Amino acid sequence: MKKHPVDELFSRKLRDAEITPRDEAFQKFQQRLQTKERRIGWWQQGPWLAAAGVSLLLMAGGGWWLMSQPSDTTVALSGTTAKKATAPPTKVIESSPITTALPQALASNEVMPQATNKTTVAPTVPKAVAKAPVKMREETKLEQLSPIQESQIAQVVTTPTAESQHSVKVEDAVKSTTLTNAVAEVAKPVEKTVVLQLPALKENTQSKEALVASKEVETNSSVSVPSSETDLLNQPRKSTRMAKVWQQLKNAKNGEKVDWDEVGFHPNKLVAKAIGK
Amino acid sequence: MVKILQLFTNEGQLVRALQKGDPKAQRYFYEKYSARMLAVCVRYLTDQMEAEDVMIEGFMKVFERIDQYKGEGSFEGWMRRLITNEALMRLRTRRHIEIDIDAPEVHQQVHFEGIENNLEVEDLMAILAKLPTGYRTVFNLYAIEGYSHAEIAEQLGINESTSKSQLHRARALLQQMVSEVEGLKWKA
Repeated sequence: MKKHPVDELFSRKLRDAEITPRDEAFQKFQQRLQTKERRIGWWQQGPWLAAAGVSLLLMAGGGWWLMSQPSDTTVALSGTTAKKATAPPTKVIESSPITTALPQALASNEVMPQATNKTTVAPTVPKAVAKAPVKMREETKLEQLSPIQESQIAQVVTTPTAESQHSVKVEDAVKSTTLTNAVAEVAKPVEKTVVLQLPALKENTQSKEALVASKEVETNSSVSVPSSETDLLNQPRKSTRMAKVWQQLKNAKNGEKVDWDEVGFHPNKLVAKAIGK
Repeated sequence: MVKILQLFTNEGQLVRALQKGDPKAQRYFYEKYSARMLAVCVRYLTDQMEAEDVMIEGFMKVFERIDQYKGEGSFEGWMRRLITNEALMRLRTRRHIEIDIDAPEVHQQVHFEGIENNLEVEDLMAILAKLPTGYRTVFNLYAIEGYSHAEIAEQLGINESTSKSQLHRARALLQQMVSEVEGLKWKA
């Protein structure tokens, strides 16, 4: 298609026309570039980026280590195999480092295996245990208990016997079976960290005494928790800090805005300090 | 500058360096394209200072979006489109584009044979700058950039028929002004 003569004239002469910009334009261009470099410069500086990444990883690792340290208890499982066979849903565990230091006032739990596998034992924790420090793990586990379980637990707790040191309560078979079923339905798998030293149970299931100092019961067993401890459940978890850091790392990776207040330090300030600006 | 010129002997090298955010490449880019792109901006905006602003903004856009350039078509064509869009955005924000429907019709027919050789770029730029903004914008986009009427209509938010009528009137006015300037030159 033939071009209109006016179009052809202007196109030919003006399409590649040039007008030299003033010097001020170049200065402005350089200013814009410097502004841009200041804004996103640190992304493109590999060594500094690597240093920032390493420091972030160190911080993250340190934070994780610090958080995991208080609840780091050694786990040793001992017990009779017969126990596992008798009471599979209720694993009685003992938290040794803390609880072994507890006075003997600590009440004990005992699992009383029944003659058959279907029957289970609901251990009770007397109020003396409530005064003992309980670890966060216990709380997080207990957090997952259903209201039904909690009510049943409360029922168990509110009926302490006079002989609290031998506070072993054997529910009747029917009740404990229903409790176990309820627990099995609701309880979710949780992190199990502390399992210690189960005393060799005597075959005499009628014995009401136990030598275990203090015990924790996994979430699928019924454990009572003092109300002061349940308040701790509502406190923010420490891991949310890590989640924030990871979120900011993801933002950095995706090129989105990074909120360094969430991370805890500002790399631009560190870089500026390092290069003396 | 000699060293910079040696570094970017072809367009591909320049693009790769720009994609890495190389400051030398950015300066070289400015040296190479600023004059041509400024002329593009002046064709739309007529004011050189404003055109320089728009050109710099356009260059920043080029640097930001350089990763989007996949080597399809010429780099300069891709960049020119970005710069043109930037100029149109400036016109739009300042409401410079008025579609001049009521401008007088020009019936004078001018024969172009032989006269265009006497017109310099500055003359033609001056003539173009005298056009109403709407005429000039449509003429620039169609006759010089090579946009279709459909693309112009989309860019400016007008009908295709409006784009065509604007172009027709722009041509008529330009013919008239060219003949006047040419006549003045002959007399001189």
